[in-house]
Amino acid sequence: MTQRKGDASQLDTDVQAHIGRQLRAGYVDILNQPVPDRFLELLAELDRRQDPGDRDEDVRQNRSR
Amino acid sequence: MTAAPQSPRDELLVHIPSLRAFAVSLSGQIDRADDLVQETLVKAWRNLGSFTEGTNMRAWLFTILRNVYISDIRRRRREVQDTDGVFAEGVAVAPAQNGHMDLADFRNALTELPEEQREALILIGAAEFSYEEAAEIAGCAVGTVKSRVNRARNALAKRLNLDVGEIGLDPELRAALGGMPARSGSG
Repeated sequence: MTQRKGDASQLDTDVQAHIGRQLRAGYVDILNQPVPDRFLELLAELDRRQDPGDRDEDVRQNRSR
Repeated sequence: MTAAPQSPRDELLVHIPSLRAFAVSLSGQIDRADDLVQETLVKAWRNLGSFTEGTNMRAWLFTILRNVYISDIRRRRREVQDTDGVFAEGVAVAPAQNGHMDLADFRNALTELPEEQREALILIGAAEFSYEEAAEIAGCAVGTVKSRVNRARNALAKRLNLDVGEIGLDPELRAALGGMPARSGSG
């Protein structure tokens, strides 16, 4: 019933590979999901409301004061 | 010369899936992750003027998200001062007793890593940035990223090894360790 320690380094390599796969699997899982509607709506709203970029907004803020 | 430039909206849209994947990996919670992504997109939109065309937009967006996440943690820490802190929530799930080393167990182990180690490991091992890019995103030296990744890997390995030692290799984990081809099988 004793676990051999001799193959510990092999196990370690395996565990490292396992970690790599798990890490990537969890990530890819989300990566492959379709973009939720809330973000499509958000981008549409941003597009409607203001030009992207810093300066435009500053100008607007200054004007509105 | 004028290759019809993508609209900023489309440009950001392309990167939403990887931003979500990064945010979920960092925070371990999908709802919170989507809030982080939302804030990131709004910030990115406002600052698109400061993005240098031709440089890596994904890295730029990851940097913003990372900073949003850090401020979020700090805010939560201030709000939750009485308990063990932010990391107590959603983490305290014991490893499965059946020895089934599934993704949820792995995520728990990941969540218990120190923030900066988890971040480095995700940037390199999941998002597949170079060490140089990861260093820029995390705002530290390349060597620091390397050592954080190593420490993260060792900590996870130690924890998984421990579990393996206690329960023996269960068939599923054995299969996983036995070099099964990756799911995508793209070559």
